[in-house]
Amino acid sequence: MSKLTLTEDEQDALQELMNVAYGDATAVVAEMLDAFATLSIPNIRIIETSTLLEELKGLKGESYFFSTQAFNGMFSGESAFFINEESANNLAKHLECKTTEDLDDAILELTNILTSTLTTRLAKEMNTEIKFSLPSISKLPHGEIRTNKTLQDYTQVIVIDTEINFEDQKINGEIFILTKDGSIKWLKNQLNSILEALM
Amino acid sequence: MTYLVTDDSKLARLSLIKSLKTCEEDAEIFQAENGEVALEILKKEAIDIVFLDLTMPVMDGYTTLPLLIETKENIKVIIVSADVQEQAKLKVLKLGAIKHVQKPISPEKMKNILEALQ
Amino acid sequence: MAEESTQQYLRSIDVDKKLVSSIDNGIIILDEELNIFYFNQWLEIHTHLKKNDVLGKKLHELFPSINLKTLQRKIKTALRMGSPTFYIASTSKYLIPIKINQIKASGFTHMRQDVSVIPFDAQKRLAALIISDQTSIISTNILLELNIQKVEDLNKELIAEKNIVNNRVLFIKINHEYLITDCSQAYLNLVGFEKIDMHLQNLFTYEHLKHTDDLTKNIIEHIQENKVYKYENITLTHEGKEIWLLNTLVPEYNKNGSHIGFIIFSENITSAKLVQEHQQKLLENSRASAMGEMISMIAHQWRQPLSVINTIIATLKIKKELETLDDATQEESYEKIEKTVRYLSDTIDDFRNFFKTNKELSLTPVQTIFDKTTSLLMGDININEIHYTENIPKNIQINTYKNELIQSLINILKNSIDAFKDAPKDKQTLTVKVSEELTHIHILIEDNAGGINQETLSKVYEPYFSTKSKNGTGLGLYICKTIIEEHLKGKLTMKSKGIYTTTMIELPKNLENKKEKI
Repeated sequence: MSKLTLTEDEQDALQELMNVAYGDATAVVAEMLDAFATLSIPNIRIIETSTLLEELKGLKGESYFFSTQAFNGMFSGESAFFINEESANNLAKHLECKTTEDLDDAILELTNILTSTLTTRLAKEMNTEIKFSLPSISKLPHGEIRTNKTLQDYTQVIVIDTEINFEDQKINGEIFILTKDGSIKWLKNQLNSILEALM
Repeated sequence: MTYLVTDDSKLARLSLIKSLKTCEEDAEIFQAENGEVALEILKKEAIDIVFLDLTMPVMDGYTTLPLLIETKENIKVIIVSADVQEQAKLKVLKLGAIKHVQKPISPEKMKNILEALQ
Repeated sequence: MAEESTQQYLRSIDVDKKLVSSIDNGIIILDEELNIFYFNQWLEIHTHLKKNDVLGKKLHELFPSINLKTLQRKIKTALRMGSPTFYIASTSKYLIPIKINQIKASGFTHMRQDVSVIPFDAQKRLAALIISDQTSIISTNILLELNIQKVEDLNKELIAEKNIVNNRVLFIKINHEYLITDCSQAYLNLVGFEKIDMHLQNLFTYEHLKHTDDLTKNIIEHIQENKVYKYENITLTHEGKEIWLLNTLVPEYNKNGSHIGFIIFSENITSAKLVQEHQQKLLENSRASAMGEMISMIAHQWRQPLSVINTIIATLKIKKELETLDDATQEESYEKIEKTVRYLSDTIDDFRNFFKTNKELSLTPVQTIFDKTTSLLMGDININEIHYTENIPKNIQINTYKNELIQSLINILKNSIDAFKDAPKDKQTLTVKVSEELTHIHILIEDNAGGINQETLSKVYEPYFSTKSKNGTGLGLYICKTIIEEHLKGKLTMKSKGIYTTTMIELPKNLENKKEKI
């Protein structure tokens, strides 16, 4: 299978669209969680699934929490959100969570908000519609089983990763948006059409 | 009018330029991919309005903004950013921007912006 | 045609309404203050609340377990984003408390629920809650996780055990073509080879494994008859050192029960073999030295009778010279010579018989055994003026290896005699007393040759230990003990008090019985 790559123009376009989507996301997060958040410039790459799995394994090791949410449509894939213990505790404090269940729920919500706003906005810019599955969490090592199975269906993934930072509350996490082979092709097409329309 | 569009993203620049051209067909438009380049152009050319992005490599919007004003005192700078939180808005206005606008800028939005400047 | 009439039918009825009332989900429509605007049949049934009783009421007032702030936040977020937010069963357990009465989902008192919070109407700020029952999935997941953990634990145990076997048990695996397919790390460590050196080598022709043609034949025979085979073999290590292995060959089966080859388990018996060889050598050495001693004893024994013969011959000569030789003197002389020659001949016979290796048990009266013993020692006893007494009941017999017992007794008695030689006394006594029990006989040998101190006593059985001034090879007692305890299945003990030394020997009356016990 020939390896897919993003051309400079495609990379630039995707970067910009993500930028716009992130603007939306930070606004919603700030409103919902009542906190000022910044998002770092997203790092966009196409890499082999095996490389990604290694990275994720490393992150999982340091993370308290790892949640995922799948989305479907012409543009389909999965988001993965990682947060470490310190940040999770700070989030709990900020939201006045009383139990572990409350905290877990809050993190799921954060994942949901980020995924929903980011991918919805991205999809909108690319003139398509998407639907979401329920988010899920993995605190247990067995979470690996699920991820591995899903990711094994992909050979390459577009990885868009960024850090979200609530400076005042000292909360930071990393979010990945992963899309499958078919979606990568579709994505490239859309990006090129958009660019052409502007030239 | 002469405009300077500063953004590291080609798509963002093209998109903004398209909206601009829809409102003002014969506008003279310069492009810069970061703050440093923008400053150089400002020194050489007679720019009326600068559209400035915040997240750029080399020199970002927050750093560039005061330097632009230093270079040309009455330069009109419009911050174009994806980030529209209140705190961000206030920060740039304090630094001397005349407006903070969320991207992408549709032709209609552009029309309103330009009219408000008159 | 049928397709068209169905479509017509569906248009005439309210499909959505019909569907919504039959789906297996709870549906609630509410506003940001949680006022209820819609409550479907599923919920009516599960909560036992009627629609009319709940409409217009607030959800958290009906169900106080609901966290008001959380739900409001989710509704607000959904409306703001224009896309759903969620409660998931694994974290939040449930939103609406519904008791379950299924036997299967034990462990849960309430239904586990996934809830989607959907923006229903942005204008009117209404959201819809779609509730689905996740109880069985959650309990299956829990079971699955438990089992996965169990499997992981078992797997770890298995791997640990496999490692132990691999590191401690010596084995080689061969296939049906007698080629080596695997061997344990323990084996590789022992022989100093790498796995690739051994891989697919022919068991019989691989030079380090040293299989003789005979052994090869035997092994193959056993393999073909599918019999377990136990055999000893020498293996060479990487450096060429010899190792003795006791091997057991067994067939190997895989998990399906198919016969896939053979495993040879080995036990390293090198040290046992070395001890055996060493003992063998010692025994031979002692035999040789005993023979040496015997020869000198015989020479010693012969001296006197030879001198007797000489004297008689000399007397005859003189008498002939003096013409005083009469018939009576001649007869007497010839008789004496004959008797002496017989004695000389007997000594030789005894000596010969004594060193014949004894493979047969013989039933002998104990008196006879002692007679043979003392016949070789009497000369020495008399010359050293040792007062020797025996107390042996005539009827006691023993079924044992006669010559080995005699050899040991000679050794022990000789020690006493030598002790007397080194330190002669006025009254020197050497007594032998024999008694019997049901299955054993006891021999007690006591001398007053001066005793043995504690330190020496503790070392007497060591090979090469000797207190004799000359000619003592020191093997004596060590060999005696070996013979008496290992070959004759008896017990040998020595003790000393003052000038007395006592040797006690206990022997089974019938070695035949002892043999069978093995």
